[in-house]
Amino acid sequence: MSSVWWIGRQEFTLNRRNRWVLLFSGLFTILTILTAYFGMVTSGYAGFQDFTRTAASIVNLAGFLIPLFALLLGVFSFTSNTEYLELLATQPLPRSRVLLGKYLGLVMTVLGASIVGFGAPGIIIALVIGPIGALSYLIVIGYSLLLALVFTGVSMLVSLLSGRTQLSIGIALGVWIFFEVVYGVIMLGTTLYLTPGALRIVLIGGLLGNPIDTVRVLSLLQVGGIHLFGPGGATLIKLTGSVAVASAIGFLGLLVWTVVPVGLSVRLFKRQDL
Amino acid sequence: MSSAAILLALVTLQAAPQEGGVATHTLLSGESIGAVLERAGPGDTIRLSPGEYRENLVIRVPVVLTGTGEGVPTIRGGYVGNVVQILAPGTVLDEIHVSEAGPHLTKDMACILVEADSVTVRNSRVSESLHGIYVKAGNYAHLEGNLIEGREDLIESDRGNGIHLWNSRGNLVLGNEIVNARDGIYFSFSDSTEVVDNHIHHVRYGLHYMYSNHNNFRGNLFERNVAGAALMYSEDISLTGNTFAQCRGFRAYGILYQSMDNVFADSNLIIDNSRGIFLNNSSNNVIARNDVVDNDLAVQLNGGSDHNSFIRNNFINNLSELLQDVSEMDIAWADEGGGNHWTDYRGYDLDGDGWGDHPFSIQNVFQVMESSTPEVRFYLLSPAARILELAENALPILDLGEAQDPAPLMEPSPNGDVPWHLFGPRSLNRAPAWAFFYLLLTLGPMAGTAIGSSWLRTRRRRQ
Repeated sequence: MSSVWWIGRQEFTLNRRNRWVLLFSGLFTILTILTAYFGMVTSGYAGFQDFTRTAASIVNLAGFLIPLFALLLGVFSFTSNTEYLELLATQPLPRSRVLLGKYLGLVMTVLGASIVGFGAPGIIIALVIGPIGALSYLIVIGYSLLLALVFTGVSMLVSLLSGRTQLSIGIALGVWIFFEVVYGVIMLGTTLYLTPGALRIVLIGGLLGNPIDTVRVLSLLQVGGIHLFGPGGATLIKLTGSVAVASAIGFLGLLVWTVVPVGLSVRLFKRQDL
Repeated sequence: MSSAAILLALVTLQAAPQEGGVATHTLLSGESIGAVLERAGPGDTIRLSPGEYRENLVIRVPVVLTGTGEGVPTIRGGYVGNVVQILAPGTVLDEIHVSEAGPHLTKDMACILVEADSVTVRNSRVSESLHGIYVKAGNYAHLEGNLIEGREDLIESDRGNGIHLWNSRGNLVLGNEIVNARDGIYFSFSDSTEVVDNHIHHVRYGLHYMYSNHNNFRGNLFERNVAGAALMYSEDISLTGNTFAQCRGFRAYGILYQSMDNVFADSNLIIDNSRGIFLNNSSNNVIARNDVVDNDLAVQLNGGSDHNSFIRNNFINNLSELLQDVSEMDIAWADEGGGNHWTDYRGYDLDGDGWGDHPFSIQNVFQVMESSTPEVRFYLLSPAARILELAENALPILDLGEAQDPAPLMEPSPNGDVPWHLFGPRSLNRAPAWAFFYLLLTLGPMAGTAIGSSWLRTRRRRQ
């Protein structure tokens, strides 16, 4: 296990020196501050308990940036510096450990950049709306960080499958756009074709099919409560029993979304001829 | 028999000198109020020393029942029947604590049952009540400054109402606080009543309302109820300067109209509810100059709700603006003085007249989908939903219904009478301390890592 940690730290150190990573954390900070500021301060009614709307904007922002960052970083790390990967593979270590080490390092990088980027705006939020807002913000960010685990795994899978830098970046961007936009549009499109009974299952079950949707709904459940979803929320309670069970299912879904890409990558990497 | 005679003698001893036929009786704790009532004349004052009085009273002559000013006396009914039943017009209850009414809702048991005209209950407290104060076929009741507490040990449907008005008119309900009852103030066949500056919270419906016309509600605060006001089957009501806040749940509403006509709602604050304003089968209502803020859904209109007008309201930061179960409804969203202010309006005002140059389609495509498929709401605020809205704006291909504000206000309407002072930004108070804590929470680990890593590096270099 210590070898995994060692490789992870090495990866993290390499990434930390990467200018792109610094740039990304700067971008996180600026965009989140802007969102928080325009979301609350300029509305003229600053100081409300109800933080749902701003929280939703921040969920969306984090849902945009964290997957993009994780995907690009992973793809660059695997495909641009192949000599390093080969060197690691020659070490007297199981390949699964090499890969898990790199995964750990990449996740640490994404988490680090996100915490730096989302930390500073938290101060503004705490100042403007106080403890409840700060807590909601922490929850939202905490949930969004789970996306780092998912999409780093996906990026590994993408780079191991395609192998070449340009192709991998293309696929990674495709994956990103699919989960950000296309998936939701498809889901909303189903309302035109399915019966109400089937829609209920497809729309609620479909949330598990997209980790970004899962995280958004989990965050809104925490921050705004189940009643936010109106009659749809009542259906969710009917299907699952309670908010706790529904949230547990959501987290389970995210776990599957983390484990499956990483597991597949390990299998691929073991058999791959570098 | 003899003990009652001694008691009577005692009471007579304590009675103050008569002034023009009006006596003042002062009782000590534990003495029988009923015995004094037997012999009191109209207009007498009965002063109760602090302490407990365990009895159920029937007041047949108009007296003033009050404390001595040294502390509040408590009349306990022992959970049997009504505690104080008032049959004499003009009776006054002042600074009394009435408690322990019987638990049978079907028999309409109450702590204070008013069955006479012009009865005053003020500065009193009602606890362990079924109905708190029940005005039954009495008119011109004056209920002021009372605290009415329902029974928290009963489930909601077994509790009574805070103030229950039946077949009664011309009442004044002023500055009462009602908590943990079933419904805060229940109206049935009760007309021409003023309800002013009451605070009603943690009940089912703050205001529950059947077949009662020409009533005014001003400056009341309804918060944390299932519904702020559920108005039903009545007409000619005015709601001004009230606050309906934090009604949250699947069936929670700020204001609910069921078959209501000619309701005038002006300068109310409707904040942080699951649904702000809900109209069902209600017509000719005016909803003007209200601030509708932070609700999950601002307005829901169900069938038969035509000829209503919404003007000069500020719809601020609601997650959705409008849900309609039929696409075409005759609603006036503006008049010659302009429309409403919507934070969701994305238009512009090039001619500078203060009105947006394009009408505001109140329902966006997402909300239209939501009216037919509620589960769509799980994709609320998602990028996909946003893109759908933008696409619909750029290339309008769907019929979004007629719900349009033709003159959306660019700036919030200056609704000066909206009672923001009752529901201010409370969370601001401790903000600096928390900001500091948060600063430590976020910057602390960052600084720690930086210092730690540099220390590790120097140590490695030495090795």
